[in-house]
Amino acid sequence: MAGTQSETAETDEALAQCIALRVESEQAMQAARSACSRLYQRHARKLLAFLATRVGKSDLEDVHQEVWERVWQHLPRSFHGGNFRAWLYQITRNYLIDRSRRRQMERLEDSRALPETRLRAPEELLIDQERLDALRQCLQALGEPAAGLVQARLAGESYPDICTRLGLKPERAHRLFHHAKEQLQKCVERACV
Amino acid sequence: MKLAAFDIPDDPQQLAEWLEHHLVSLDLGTLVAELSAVHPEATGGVSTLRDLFGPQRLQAVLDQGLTVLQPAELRRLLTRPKLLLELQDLVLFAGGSHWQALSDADARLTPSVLRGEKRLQRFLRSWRPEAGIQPARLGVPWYRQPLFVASATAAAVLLGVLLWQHLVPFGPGGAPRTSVATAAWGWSAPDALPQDLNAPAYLNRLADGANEWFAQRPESAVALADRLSAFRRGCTQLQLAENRPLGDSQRKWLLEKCRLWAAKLDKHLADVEAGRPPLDVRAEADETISRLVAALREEAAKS
Repeated sequence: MAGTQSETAETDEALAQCIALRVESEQAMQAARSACSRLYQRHARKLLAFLATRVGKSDLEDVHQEVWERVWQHLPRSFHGGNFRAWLYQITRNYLIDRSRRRQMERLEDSRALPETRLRAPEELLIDQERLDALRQCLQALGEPAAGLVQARLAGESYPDICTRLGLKPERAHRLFHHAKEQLQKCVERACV
Repeated sequence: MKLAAFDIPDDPQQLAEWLEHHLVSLDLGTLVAELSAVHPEATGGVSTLRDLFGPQRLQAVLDQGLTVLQPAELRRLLTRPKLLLELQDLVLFAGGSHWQALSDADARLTPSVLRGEKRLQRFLRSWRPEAGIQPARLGVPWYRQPLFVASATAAAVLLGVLLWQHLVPFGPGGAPRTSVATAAWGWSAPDALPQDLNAPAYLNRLADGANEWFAQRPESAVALADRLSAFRRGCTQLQLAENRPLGDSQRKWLLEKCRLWAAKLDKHLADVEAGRPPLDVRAEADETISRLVAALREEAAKS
């Protein structure tokens, strides 16, 4: 990409620089707001996906908003050029760590600091444990050959390979998988209510 | 509660695309939980993606997506679901335009993004710098402070517009004048097609303009038809514009794309007029426009 002046003006780093200069005049402030919106448009979708594996659904949009407010507030002092995307994810991680510590402290205060309480590591990824446990139990109840078929399908094996390995006819394998899916769906729904 | 992993495609050729879609979406945690329940013993063993693929294959994934992997490699990922979380991090931090386009095209993310954008704009409008970090403003009388001047100018302009609308309620030919808010958006806005930008900036500006589609969510057939018609008009304006920032091959690309988008918009409009449920049509239009935005951004990234 040729490095003309106007092209450089569109890079993340140039937009970040524009935000850093916001206090110089009212025009600079307007340009900074616009630059922040541009950065948001570029990175919000991916940042939401990143956050979705780390915070619960009900908190997702609030946490996302907090991160962008931090971007605006901290950028002039703590972004020193370089890769904006890397900086964005670093301040997101820092925010998640702060948030996690704060919540742990609140929980500890609420529960009078029970020493055996296992606290989640700040960077631990959020996996839907309830769903995992429920599905594990429901699979055990499914029995063979359906459970083996589900395991093979969810490992990306093709029907012809599975049929050869498990000695099933293709129509039966399709029917079995469809039936197993319905059973598991109902079972998990019951377990997670 | 829908089981995400059970939508796995029958055809192994579609596996890469299916997984890519989950990697940029909001439900990867659900998918990983379900796969972990099905493949519990396999979650140990290989500890990192680098162990699994090696640095060169991994870089190819970041540049070109999961289609560079063999079916057996994809299967290894499915049976070590926690590696999908590591892969998501890599893709989001360091993925190329392929992953950006995928993320842009995911219509399910759009409502959250739009709500966030509105909240951010409210925050930015209300934010004021702390007193200690404004050296440029020290000693300036209050009536010459930029904020006061800007507010006074905005108030004067608003008053002028209100007066003009009040005194001149009809447009040329006696037709009722359409309000600025409903007429000027997207590619129809007065500054939507600036001819003095470079190619990537212009294409990104077009993508921003198209994205304004999502700023309103019409639910009735009439409102949806109105919004689709406005977008379609913008499409005509774009086709008839000079598009000077683009070179010949990009201009040709844009015109070809524009014709395809116009045809799709016409179909959505015809569907509304034929009485199809507006929310169904709106969802399809969302998809069309998300893809259109992604195509423009991808082209901008290539420039």
